Amino acid sequence: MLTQITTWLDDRLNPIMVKEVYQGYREKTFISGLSTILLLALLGYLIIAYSNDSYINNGKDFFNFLLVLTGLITLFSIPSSSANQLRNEISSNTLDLITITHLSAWTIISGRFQAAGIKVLLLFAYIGPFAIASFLLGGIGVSTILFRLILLLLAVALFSSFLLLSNTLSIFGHQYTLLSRGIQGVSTMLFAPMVLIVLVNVPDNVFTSVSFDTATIYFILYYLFLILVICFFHLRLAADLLQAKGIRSFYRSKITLLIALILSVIAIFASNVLLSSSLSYPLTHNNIRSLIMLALLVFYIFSLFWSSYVPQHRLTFSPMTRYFFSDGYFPTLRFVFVSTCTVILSSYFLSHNSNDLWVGVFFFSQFCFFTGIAYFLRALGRSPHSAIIYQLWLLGLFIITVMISIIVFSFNHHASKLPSIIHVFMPLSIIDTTRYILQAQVWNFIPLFLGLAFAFLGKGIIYNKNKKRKK
Amino acid sequence: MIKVQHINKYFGEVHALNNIHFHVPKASICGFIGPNGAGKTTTMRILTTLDSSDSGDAWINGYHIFHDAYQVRREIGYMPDYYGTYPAITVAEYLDFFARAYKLKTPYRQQRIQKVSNFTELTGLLKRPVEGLSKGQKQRLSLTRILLPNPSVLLLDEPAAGLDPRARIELRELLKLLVKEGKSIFISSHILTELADLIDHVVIIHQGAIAYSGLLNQLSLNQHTQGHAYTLEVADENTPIRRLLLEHPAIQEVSGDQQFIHFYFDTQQYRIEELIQHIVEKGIPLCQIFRRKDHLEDIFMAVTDKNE
Ligand SMILES: Nc1ncnc2c1ncn2[C@@H]1O[C@H](COP(=O)(O)OP(=O)(O)OP(=O)(O)O)[C@@H](O)[C@H]1O
Ligand SMILES: [Mg+2]
Repeated sequence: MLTQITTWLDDRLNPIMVKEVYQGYREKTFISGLSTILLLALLGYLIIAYSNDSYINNGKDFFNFLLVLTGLITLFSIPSSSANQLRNEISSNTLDLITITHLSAWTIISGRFQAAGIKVLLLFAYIGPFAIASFLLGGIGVSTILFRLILLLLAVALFSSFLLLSNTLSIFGHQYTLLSRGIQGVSTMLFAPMVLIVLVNVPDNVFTSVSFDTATIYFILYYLFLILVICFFHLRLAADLLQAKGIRSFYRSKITLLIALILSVIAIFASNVLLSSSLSYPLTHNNIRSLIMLALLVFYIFSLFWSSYVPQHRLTFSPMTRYFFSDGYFPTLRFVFVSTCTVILSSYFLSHNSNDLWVGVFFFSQFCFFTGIAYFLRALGRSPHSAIIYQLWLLGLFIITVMISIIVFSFNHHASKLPSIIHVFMPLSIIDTTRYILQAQVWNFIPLFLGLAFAFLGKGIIYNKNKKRKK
Repeated sequence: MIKVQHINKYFGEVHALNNIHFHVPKASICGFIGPNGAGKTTTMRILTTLDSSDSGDAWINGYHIFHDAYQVRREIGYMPDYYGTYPAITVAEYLDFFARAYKLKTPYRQQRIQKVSNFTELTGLLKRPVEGLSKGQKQRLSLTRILLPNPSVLLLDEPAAGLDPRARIELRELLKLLVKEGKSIFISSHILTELADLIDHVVIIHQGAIAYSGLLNQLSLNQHTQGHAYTLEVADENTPIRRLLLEHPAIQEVSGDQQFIHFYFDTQQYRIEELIQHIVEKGIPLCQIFRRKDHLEDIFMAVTDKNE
């Protein structure tokens, strides 16, 4: 019976996860890292337990020490090593061998994520006895210990999925391998210390004063859900990138992001209804609007990437999918249009505040403006590296407009009509965006028309070039 | 069965594949011959759904390489021109990993690994670390890997490169056995003669274009009007054998030294038996006569020259 269950389970395990864990165990760095941690933890325990025994916060200090130790490994080492392995497999072509097995791209990516998760859980199991010891030393509660470990786990999940995504970029070639290394380095240096500092410094009463009423549980669940959705989206996009060039398409991650966006908007409103009675800090309409704007901003960052992608495949989609979810510039434009409308209209119908509509116009207009010019520039010089050129131009445009907006706003504290008109061309708010959006009114449409004009010009150029090439 | 129709592929300005068009029937073994940079690997990567083409279509066992890509992957075994090993795992773990990746379930998985590694004579190496294997052993490991799901079409990219003569012969024998099982094999190489007694079909690619595709034994007749190449050995060096050969209507080129004489014989219109009889009747002491293999190399040069 037991063997039946284990074989059943064994067959369903993700092969990539099994391989990664195996390989991890064989690696000297993993084993030596683990034993170093155990040694350090033991040493710390001995020092704290047998030194000044009158001190009340012994347990707390020891736990913080443990937390930093675990955090260093789980944030610096485990996510990077699984991401590094993925990048190496891509650049050494061994990924191709796995791609043509019967595994889906999703299994390949999620297997790596699972392997990282198992390594982290293994580490947690090792430090478990020490965590209990820190409780016995006194000065720290069980809920504090658990909450911090769970927060660390979530941070690791988020970070691992992000690193897997950024390293999948190296599938586009050598330059992107460098780019993904850069992203990995910078984000590790920024994110990991930040998480550790926050975890150690959160005042204890945040954890201890929590009373588990419906609203709090809802609140916790909402953020848990949001983090999981973001992780899922990272992995989904990575899986789409990982598909072989001949059949690569992003429609799954587009649909995922759209659903996540709608769910989070609904959740924001639901949380407002639920929490306004019990929490001393109900979300005001402005807060909700800025949350929605944040969601849209994340949405646009990824859409910028999709619109820059030049499809290499010749897949046939069903008409609906082809029109909104297939790859390339114009389908992405339609997709962004429909998504913005969905989010903004649902927000409008829930709040009946017509100002939200202008926010929608502003966002879509911005998207059109930046991508339209970039698409036009790419059409002028269609080289093999056009995707990079495209993104560099986008980056350039962003930097220039950010600089202009900073200069304009630093000279214009009392905003007149002029800066709000300039603002319609500016990337997202460094200052109070909503106010300027509302002031600008119909001016918000100008970037949209300009961007579309450039895009159609670009399309004409590409059409002509293709016609010549066919001849 | 592989069917390729009008495939074009550009790398920037490089026209890597130019209107590729050929057909490999079921249960046949087809050589894919071309010099460096001809486009062999590019073609194989497109056929295995790893890369895209700019235009054209291809089917493997009737499945379209883009529209039914996942089904195509279930039909093929692809051995690229690198080995793809991983650090810190053994041969047994490597095979187990790929068997899992091919979704083989528990009792069957071990049986299949056992059976295939027996076939490729890898059983003795199962406990060795993958990275420490020699080239020939890695090659056999790759073959074992792709045979695990029992695919019906094998695409092998220069499997004989870097192997010693003995390993080449062993590989050839393995492939012959696989064809007997009913598999189609598409195998690339730089050298036609190397594959000559293995393959029945041949596709010759040169500078991204197909120079010839079809049966191997028709290649000689169609492409080279001079006929088959023969070498003849005579015991006595002072016979009028050269003149005799030159007089024969089926023979055009005669070369070689006094003892070994090379010539081309048009087997379409004349029979070689009659020529031998004719020589013997003239009283010339004949030691041996045989058909030359390296003749294929000449044809290959002729075919690829013609396309330039
Ligand atoms: N990723 C790539 N980027 C740019 N050019 C490429 C790429 N892959 C192949 N090429 C070009 O396409 C042509 C065909 O290359 P391919 O690798 O298919 O040749 P091959 O027949 O396999 O050669 P070899 O016998 O050396 O393996 C070559 O001119 C090569 O330079
Ligand atoms: Mg090659």
